[in-house]
Amino acid sequence: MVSGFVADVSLPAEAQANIWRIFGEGESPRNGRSAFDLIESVIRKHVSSSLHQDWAISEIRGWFELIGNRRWLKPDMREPVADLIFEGVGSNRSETAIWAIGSIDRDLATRSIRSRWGSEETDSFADAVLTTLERACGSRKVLSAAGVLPLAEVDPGEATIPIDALEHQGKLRTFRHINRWSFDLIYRALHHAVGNLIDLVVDLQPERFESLIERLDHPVMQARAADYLIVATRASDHRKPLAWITKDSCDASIALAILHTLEAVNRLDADIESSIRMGEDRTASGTELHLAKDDLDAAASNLLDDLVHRLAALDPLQSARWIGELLSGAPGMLMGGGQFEKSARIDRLEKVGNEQLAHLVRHSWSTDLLAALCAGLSVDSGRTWTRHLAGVAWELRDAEPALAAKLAKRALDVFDRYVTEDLNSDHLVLDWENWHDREWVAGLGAALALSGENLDLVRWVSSRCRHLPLSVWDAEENYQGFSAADRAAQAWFLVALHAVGYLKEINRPVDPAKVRDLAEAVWAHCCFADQYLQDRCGISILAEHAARSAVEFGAPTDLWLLEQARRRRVGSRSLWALMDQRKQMAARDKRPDTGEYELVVEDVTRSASNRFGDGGRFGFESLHYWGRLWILLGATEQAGRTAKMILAYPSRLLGRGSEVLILELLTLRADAYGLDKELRDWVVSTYRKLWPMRDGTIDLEREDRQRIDEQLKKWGIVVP
Amino acid sequence: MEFTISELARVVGKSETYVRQHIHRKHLIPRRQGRSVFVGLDEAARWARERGLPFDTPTWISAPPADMRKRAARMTVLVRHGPDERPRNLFTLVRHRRQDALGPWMSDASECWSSEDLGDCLRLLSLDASLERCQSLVKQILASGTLGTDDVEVDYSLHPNARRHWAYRDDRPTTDASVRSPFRRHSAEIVEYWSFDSELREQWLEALAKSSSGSRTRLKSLGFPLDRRVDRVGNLMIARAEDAITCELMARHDQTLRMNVEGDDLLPFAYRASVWGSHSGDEVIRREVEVNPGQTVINLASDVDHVGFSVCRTIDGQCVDLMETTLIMEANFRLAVGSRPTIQIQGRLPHMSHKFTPASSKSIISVRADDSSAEIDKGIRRLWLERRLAESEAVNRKGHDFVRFQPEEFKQAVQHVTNLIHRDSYRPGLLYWVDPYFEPYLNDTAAAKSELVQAYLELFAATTGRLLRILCGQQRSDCQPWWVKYPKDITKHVSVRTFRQRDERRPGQLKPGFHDRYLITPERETVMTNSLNGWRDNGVTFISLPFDVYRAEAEQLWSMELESVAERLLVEEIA
Repeated sequence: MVSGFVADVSLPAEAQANIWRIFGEGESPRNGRSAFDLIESVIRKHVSSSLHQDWAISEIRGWFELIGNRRWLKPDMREPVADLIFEGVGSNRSETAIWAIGSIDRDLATRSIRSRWGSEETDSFADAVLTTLERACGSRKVLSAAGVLPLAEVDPGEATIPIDALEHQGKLRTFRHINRWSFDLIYRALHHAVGNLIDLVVDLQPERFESLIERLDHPVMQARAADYLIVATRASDHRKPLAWITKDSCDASIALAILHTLEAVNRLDADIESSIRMGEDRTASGTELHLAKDDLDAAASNLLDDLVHRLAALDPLQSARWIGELLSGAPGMLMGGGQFEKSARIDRLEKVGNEQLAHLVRHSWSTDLLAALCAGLSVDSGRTWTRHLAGVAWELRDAEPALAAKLAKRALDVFDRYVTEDLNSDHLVLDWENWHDREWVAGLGAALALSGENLDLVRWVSSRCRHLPLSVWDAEENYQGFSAADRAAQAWFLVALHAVGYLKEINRPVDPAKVRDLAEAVWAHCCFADQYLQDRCGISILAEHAARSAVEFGAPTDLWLLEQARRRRVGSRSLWALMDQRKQMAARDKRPDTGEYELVVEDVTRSASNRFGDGGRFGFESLHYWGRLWILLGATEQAGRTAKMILAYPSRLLGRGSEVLILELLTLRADAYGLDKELRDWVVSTYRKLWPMRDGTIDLEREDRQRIDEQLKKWGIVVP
Repeated sequence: MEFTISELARVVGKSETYVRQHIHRKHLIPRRQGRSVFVGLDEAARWARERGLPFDTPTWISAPPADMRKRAARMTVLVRHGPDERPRNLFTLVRHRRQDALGPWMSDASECWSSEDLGDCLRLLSLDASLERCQSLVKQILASGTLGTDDVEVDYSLHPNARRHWAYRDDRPTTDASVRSPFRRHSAEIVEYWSFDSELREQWLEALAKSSSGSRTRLKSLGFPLDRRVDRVGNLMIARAEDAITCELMARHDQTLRMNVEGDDLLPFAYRASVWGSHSGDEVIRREVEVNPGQTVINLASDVDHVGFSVCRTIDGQCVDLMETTLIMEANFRLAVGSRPTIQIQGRLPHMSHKFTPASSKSIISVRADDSSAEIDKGIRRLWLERRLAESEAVNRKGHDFVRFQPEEFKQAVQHVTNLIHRDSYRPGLLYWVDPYFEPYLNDTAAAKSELVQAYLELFAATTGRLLRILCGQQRSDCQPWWVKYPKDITKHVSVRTFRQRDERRPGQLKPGFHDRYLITPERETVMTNSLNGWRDNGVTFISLPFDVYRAEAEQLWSMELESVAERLLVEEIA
């Protein structure tokens, strides 16, 4: 079909005047039949001559073509039919008339309305559209599952998407979910005429947007209106959604404003990324800001700040809930960072959000406010939401210590409740790679520090652990229960260890001996539990934290360090962390080298070597920490032995990190002649594989490579 | 047990100044009590060992017997409490071990009974207490025949004389040697009072039959697998962990065995140990090893797939710990695809790495291990597994319960089926041939020559005079079934019905309404692992079962109404 070709219409006048009825009834989502199916019944009802009836029916049927299993109006008939509909409808504002106009393509309809109607007629049309759509909200047929990708094979005549399937706890979460499937849901699944009418109102009278959102109680319709408006305005005003947040705004408007503001931040970040990648001149812009001089980064930061400030200007209860919902949902909506590292945007948002929440708590405190805050925070971030509660408590620590303690206790109570629930369901797994979990534990540590005076951390943990199934009887009778209890104990220990640093920050006394006791309690627990748990060998993150805290806050003597090196229960990771932290502290505090360190190193090396033996009883991961320890202690012979053990470990393919470590261990010795030819060849080939180019080493490996290069130079081995 | 400085100096044959210097240099950690200095036995032994000093335990030092240490016990009682019945003991276990082994979180035992209702008239009572308290309870049971807890009195029916035996850590499956140790890291000495109450045993079997998986899981807290060891019903068992010494044997497939020994105040030569290992049924090591704290490495000349050890007290020769387990053999090769089109394969032995660049995406790769000993081990194991397979198959073939035919044995397979039918012909009753992919629509021209058709004809001929019902799951095609050409061979005794259901993954499509293939004769039900049309390509195995589950299924399918929309499946008669 040639584009732009418009066919003639040859019909009896009576039939022409009733064409709108066919399309009006056919496009109504309340009606189960299509316009094509209704041709005969409408014509026979409204055209008097039977001769004209047959003619008209045959002629109108010829306007349609079969595509797939449905008959569609031919492209060349769209404009003449639109003219017939507008002429037939005239000033009629009945539902059928509105659906008839809804059947016309949006651009065509907009053009026709603007050329045919004055402002009064347009007003009355918009009113009628809103009333019609309001009534349609309850209809199941507003959303069809046909065409939606995951449901692509569903029978189109049958399947509808129930609104319950789209609504989640919290409006923001609902819109976020819809947004994820936006094209499918708001463009393909939403009834064609419904979508057209929404676009028409937004196009003709954008000032009606908020009343449209308020009146249409259907999240997909609301999302369509917002999406259409954003697409139309983002090239001129990226801050537009902020205006949707006012004291009188409905929940849906606020949620859509948050969603589209975060989307605008994402577009700005994408522009920054593409300008870095492609150069400023070739950057495709997602907003009206184009160049670096517009300071895209500042624009994004301002947008986030202003979003929080806008929400903070709402009624206190509303404000607490919305900021909570924003903090809870933003990590899933803002791009960048991923699950391993927190992005700078999220960091900024949380900082501003916590400040505003602290202000709210301080000036509008009530139990209802706390309930609203918790409701908002807990909507969308799983169990880690209490970290925000702890964050707000931390903000209030100086100004309102009593309130801070109250919030902190609430965060800890919720955590205790989760632990109790998880003991039965086996879900409590802390993923230390995930920044949410890391910040959660750190936040709970802060909460613990704020929760009261005279805190005895060892007693705090042990009073909890004593109620867990953590005895040897439990290990033998109920492995799952014992394993879950171990994870709970580890979580409590981590919280307590983090609390130590926060106690220091708020100048509460921390007895160094108690910190060492806490570390020793950790190792005692790990050593005991490791005997009964599979795949554990004293190398948990908890063991490392205990060691670092003991050195940082426990004022350990050399004798104490030496004792730990001799004890079997202090695993390789702890031992490495003890020495590493000690070295870091010495460098940080710029302690003068008295030679004392060498003596300790000598003794620790001897004790650790005795424990290590030939390394044969240690697991793959444990050997890595032994290796790191030897590098730290400069123990060349043990380092070589460990490298060989790792290489010989059965059924392991070495990762990049392991290969770098083995290179370091093997090259630690002063010359290459202690290595057999096979190992020397391995060193050279692995080095070439890891770093085929002279430059381009990733930051994480730069120092390691430098050390290895120096050693290889000493050996007289030149690798490119 | 501690040394003074002069005692320690005497033991290691050095001067007191030497010892004092080492304490001063923190090589030796002492315990200070006022101005006195003591060194513990462990610490002294470690220090001396690290420096290669002689350290013979002096005669005047002797370890306190393990019995003298404080021991903690857990007493669990499984009680049957039927309506209008006095509670009766189904099994009582008293386990005891060193108090310090309980873990860092065990506070002093509350010595209160806890009680859990397991359903089905079963209740589990549990008490954590000192060994002395549990011993007094055992005395009470033996004296009065009852155990009084906080709120219930349990009746016992025990023979007054106890039997003593040992429970070791034998982790091999399907062994029926001895009761296994209830302690994960120790073997146990058992004192057991037996009950010969047959009524109680019957009640327990009834309860077991009714019990849910949930209640069986909770039954684990009893600490004894009474569901498998029903001969123990009604007994009272006291298990003492042999925890003066803890041993572990590790095998990592690097041709070493590593024996770890732990024990406080372990005296030299107090124990002796024997370690063994076998590979593919051949013993590759059985050796005495010294029992010293720490690790002893035992080098092997080959791989092992089964290891064990026993530890005996020197003083009386009693075996106090025995562990035996079958190892899971790891996969021999790992495959990794790098960023370049080079594929690297690494074996489980060190330095056994193969790199190559495939010629195309469909290259066939043959990998040869370059470690000769691993190659031998693999070969031996392969032959051994083949022998075991052949042996077990031969045993089952004798009873005609398990018969396997290779693709080239097609005719023999058909003959086996007809034999099965003939063998049961003396019993009246229906025959069912159930096969979702029964092939009734063969190519017309090829039908006469087809091996399949001949097989079907043999099957039909063998069933003449009886009723053969064929259940299949195929759609009717446009062509006629091949059998219309054989009106003489196929009489009315054969009827074929197709059973199909909606395919949820492909709307509008139908799929077979069942999936297993089987033959039912009046005497037996035999599962076939392949449809008849696949015997020529892949072979078939016939397994006779005693369950009558398939017979019930076939009858239930056949009873469905033809072409009824009300049925679960669409049923059509096609012949």
